[in-house]
Amino acid sequence: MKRCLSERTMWLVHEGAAPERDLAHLAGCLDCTARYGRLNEELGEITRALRDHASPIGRDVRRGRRRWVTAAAVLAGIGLLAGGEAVLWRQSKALVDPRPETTAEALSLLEEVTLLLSSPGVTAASVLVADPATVIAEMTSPESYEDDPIAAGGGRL
Amino acid sequence: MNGQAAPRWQAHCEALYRQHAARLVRLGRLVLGDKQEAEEVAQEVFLKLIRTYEGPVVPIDWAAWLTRVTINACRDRRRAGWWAWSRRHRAPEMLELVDGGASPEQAAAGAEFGVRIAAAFQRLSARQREVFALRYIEGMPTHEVAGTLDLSEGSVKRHLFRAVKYLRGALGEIKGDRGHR
Repeated sequence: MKRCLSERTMWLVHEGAAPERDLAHLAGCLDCTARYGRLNEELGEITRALRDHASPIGRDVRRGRRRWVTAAAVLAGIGLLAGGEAVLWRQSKALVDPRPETTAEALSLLEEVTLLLSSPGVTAASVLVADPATVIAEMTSPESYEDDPIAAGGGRL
Repeated sequence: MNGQAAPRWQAHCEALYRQHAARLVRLGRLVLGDKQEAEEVAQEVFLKLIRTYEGPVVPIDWAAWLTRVTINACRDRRRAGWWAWSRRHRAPEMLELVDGGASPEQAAAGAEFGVRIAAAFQRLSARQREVFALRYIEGMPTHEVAGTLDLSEGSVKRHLFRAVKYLRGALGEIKGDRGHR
């Protein structure tokens, strides 16, 4: 009875280092021939996979992933910067161009200022120094008209 | 005189680089399991090549010399303490194969297969990786592998057979897993 070849002998055949009698057995044994074919095929698959895998044309997934992370970080940074800039711009605009609380308040302020400037005997200095309420009260009192030569009719010819 | 020698020297070094750089990076990558390390090793080897060119003894077979120096440079790296430390604290290298003709599914399946075979390869001992890479990837005959690694032929065969047995087992597992999906 012929014994089939061991895995090691089979591999030695593949390496060209097996004795003649093992080669003769391989030639006459269908089972061993099939096993030898499988060994050849599997070694080929392993070698090809390793050769392709370790080849310098291989692309590193980790590096690709790292590139994505870097791109995302840069984008996030740009977004943060833009957001910060927008907030700062709004604040600076509010400082340069303060808005009155309401339109009514603004109108009354304008009215007061107009009245103040058009009233006789009121100099810019007195307006600046005095309390606006006092100035308005003075202007609207009848005494103020008496002092005014034009209002009192002193200017009449 | 020197003006004439320099271009010839440069041209030969460049030719050797073009011819062997990719092969040496691949060899280093298989032995060390790291692409960047392998590229650094290849650079070291070519710097050594330039120094050797200027030295008194110039090798006859540059291909064999480059292979031997690459293997020694890989061994030096492995011996370094920091290398062992970084290897312990690092995830295994994940690679994707570039295959222009394959569909995305095929490429992904092929890449996964390659990654798993490469992972199994990295579980071999350093000596087994060296002999396997030189014998089957570089296609060196067993006696040359023995000469390059300063081993006996019997020792090379023993390491090779163990490596082949282990990798075939891993291949069977991978195929089994793919068959179950």
